[in-house]
Amino acid sequence: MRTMVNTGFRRSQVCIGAALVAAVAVGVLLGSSFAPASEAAAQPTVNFTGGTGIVLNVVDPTKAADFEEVMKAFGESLVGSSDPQRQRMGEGLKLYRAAEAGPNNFALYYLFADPTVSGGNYAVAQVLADEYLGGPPGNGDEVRAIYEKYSAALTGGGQQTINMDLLLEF
Amino acid sequence: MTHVPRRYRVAVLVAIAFVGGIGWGAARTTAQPGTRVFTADVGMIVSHVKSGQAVAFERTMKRVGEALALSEEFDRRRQAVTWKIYKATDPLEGGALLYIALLDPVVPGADYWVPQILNEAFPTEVQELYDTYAGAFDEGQGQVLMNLTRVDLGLAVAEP
Repeated sequence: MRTMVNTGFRRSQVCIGAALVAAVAVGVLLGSSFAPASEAAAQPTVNFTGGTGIVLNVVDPTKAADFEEVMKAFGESLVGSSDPQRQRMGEGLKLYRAAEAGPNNFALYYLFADPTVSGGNYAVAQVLADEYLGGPPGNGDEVRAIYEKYSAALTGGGQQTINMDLLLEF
Repeated sequence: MTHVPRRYRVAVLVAIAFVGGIGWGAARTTAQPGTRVFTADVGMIVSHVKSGQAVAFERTMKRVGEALALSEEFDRRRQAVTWKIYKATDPLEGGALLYIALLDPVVPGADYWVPQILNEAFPTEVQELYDTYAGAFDEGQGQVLMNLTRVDLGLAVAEP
């Protein structure tokens, strides 16, 4: 049995080579597929069609603290909303930061919406405009300020939205 | 200042991403052949599976769940508790299927290397299971492991 497993492990070294090729592909994909930050941040509607939604955020590492501040405001705006749908959206949010930097040393953040709320609009800019600090009309200056932080944090990086379904839970 | 056409600037950006991708991937794969031990509180495994190999991959991962549940080692059973696997609703460009395993939290020091887990529980089947598992991955993209840290969003109601 040890021999068979060792054979498998030797094959894994071939897999490492394949993974390096994969890394190139990932790099190219990341470099070519992200929407410019101004477009990504300004999306008026972000809906998920799967049971779980993931937003990969590629963030300027010098603005990581700003990005986290915006995400906290986003989450708090959702759970603090008077709209039950938005409250449920907030309850399912989790944010993770990758320990290792991504391409060009940018920080990688994964926002999980699990479960997603059907029909819910997860667009950060829209939620902040509607809900941040009690909503309009009194929050205009604060929303503009925090939106600028959000947009600047994503400049040079971007976002990618992935629709997923929970397949297995051991 | 010399004007650089947009297509050349885009090409340079893609080239930078290309090189960054190499380093990024190398940092994740070359350091740990045959082991999958996470160094952070949360782990993520991104798997790119060949079109047509979904059933084989999913069947193997179900066996992993069985192996963990059957294990006499407490830590192996703990691994099962927080191991979730998600599947993208749509294939990627080129047809590969995307699976993301989220391990939140990881069991500190535990090895998440699938062939080893299968070998412990199903030693007489491990070669066949390994062949199925290894053969399922898309040659162009394979698997990426990531160490993650959860960012506190201050959402008291978010905990299950």
